[in-house]
Amino acid sequence: MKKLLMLVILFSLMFPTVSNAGIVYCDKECFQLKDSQITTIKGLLYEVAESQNKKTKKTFLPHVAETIVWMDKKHKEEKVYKLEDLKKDDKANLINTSISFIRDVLYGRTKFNPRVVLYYWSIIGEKVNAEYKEKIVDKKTVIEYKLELRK
Amino acid sequence: MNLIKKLLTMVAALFILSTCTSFNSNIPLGYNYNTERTVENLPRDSFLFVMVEEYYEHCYSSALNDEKECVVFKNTGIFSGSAFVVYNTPNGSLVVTADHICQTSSPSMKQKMTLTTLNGKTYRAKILERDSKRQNDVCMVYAKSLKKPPVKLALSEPKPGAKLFNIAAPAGIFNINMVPILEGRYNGLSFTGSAIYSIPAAGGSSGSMVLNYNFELVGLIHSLHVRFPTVTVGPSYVVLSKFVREGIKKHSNL
Repeated sequence: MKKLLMLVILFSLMFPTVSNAGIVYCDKECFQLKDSQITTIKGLLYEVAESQNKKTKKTFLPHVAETIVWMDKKHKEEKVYKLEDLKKDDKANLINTSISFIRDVLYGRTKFNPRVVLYYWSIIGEKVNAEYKEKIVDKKTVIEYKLELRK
Repeated sequence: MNLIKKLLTMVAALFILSTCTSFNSNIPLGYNYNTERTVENLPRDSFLFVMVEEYYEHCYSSALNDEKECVVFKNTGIFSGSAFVVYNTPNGSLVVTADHICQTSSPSMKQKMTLTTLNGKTYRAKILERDSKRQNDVCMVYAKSLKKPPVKLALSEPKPGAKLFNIAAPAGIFNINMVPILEGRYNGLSFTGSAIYSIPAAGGSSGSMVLNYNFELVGLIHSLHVRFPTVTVGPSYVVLSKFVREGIKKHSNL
């Protein structure tokens, strides 16, 4: 079952597909992000966020939470969001960086074992719970966020 | 009469001594390598151990303070190589290594290059010039505040069969005041124009200096033959010397 899941993930990441909805990543070809890919990205982002030091976490955790919430929302929409057209958006850039990184892992350009890490991120990604809200209290923006793993 | 004899003896002794010195100075430094005199002339101090860390970076505007912040998204790998000083600028040194050391494994990655001297001091390196042609594979970097004696560039290319010396850190073998010194022969040029040496090498030797019998720079090792690893490859003397001279001319005031 595990092997099958891994092959599905690897397969889905290796072969680009083009559709007309959700988030679209373009390199040499364009492809729409699938559910399994969104899950893998979430797992990776959670791991990256947790690996940061205390000082960085203060600003990076809310950014990751906001990105995951944004990604989930756009993924469900019918409109096409091309990441390359959103280069000024930090959230889109974070997703772009994540995808580039996952592709490099997959093609063996990093020290990571693709089978192991992709499986790990997909398992973690399933459990990631992210929430993000901005409120204005006394003319100041207050951020409320959650970035945790569901039990 | 005795005085004349003494004078003649002294003149003869002086003559013998003077011919001895002139004879010695004509001997190439690496001719009788196993002597303390020649060992001291090996440019070990010019050697630099290279460490390259590759990583992904992400920069974002923090929603909390609106400041731009950058985080190391992931460290993706670390590898080592060799390099050597070719010129001392007013504020640092120009260093030469192999180009694939200066190149990241993926265009999306960033890299941090650190140079370690034989006495263990480390310096950050900044890439200045690159020749990415596969047969050349040579790169020039700048290290601020680094001051080590530069390797002298030879005036002529080695002849096939010439004995050569190589100071390198194959497989990352390097420690404070310890760097492997290897020997081999120059074999000539390959059909692509690369210099071929019979100097033992391994991953980590990339970017190491190849010296002639006078301990002058004649080449650099950038790769080894897959099927016969004793045969090593580098840019030709003509390519390397042109690259070094032009790089020095362009960046000598850094």
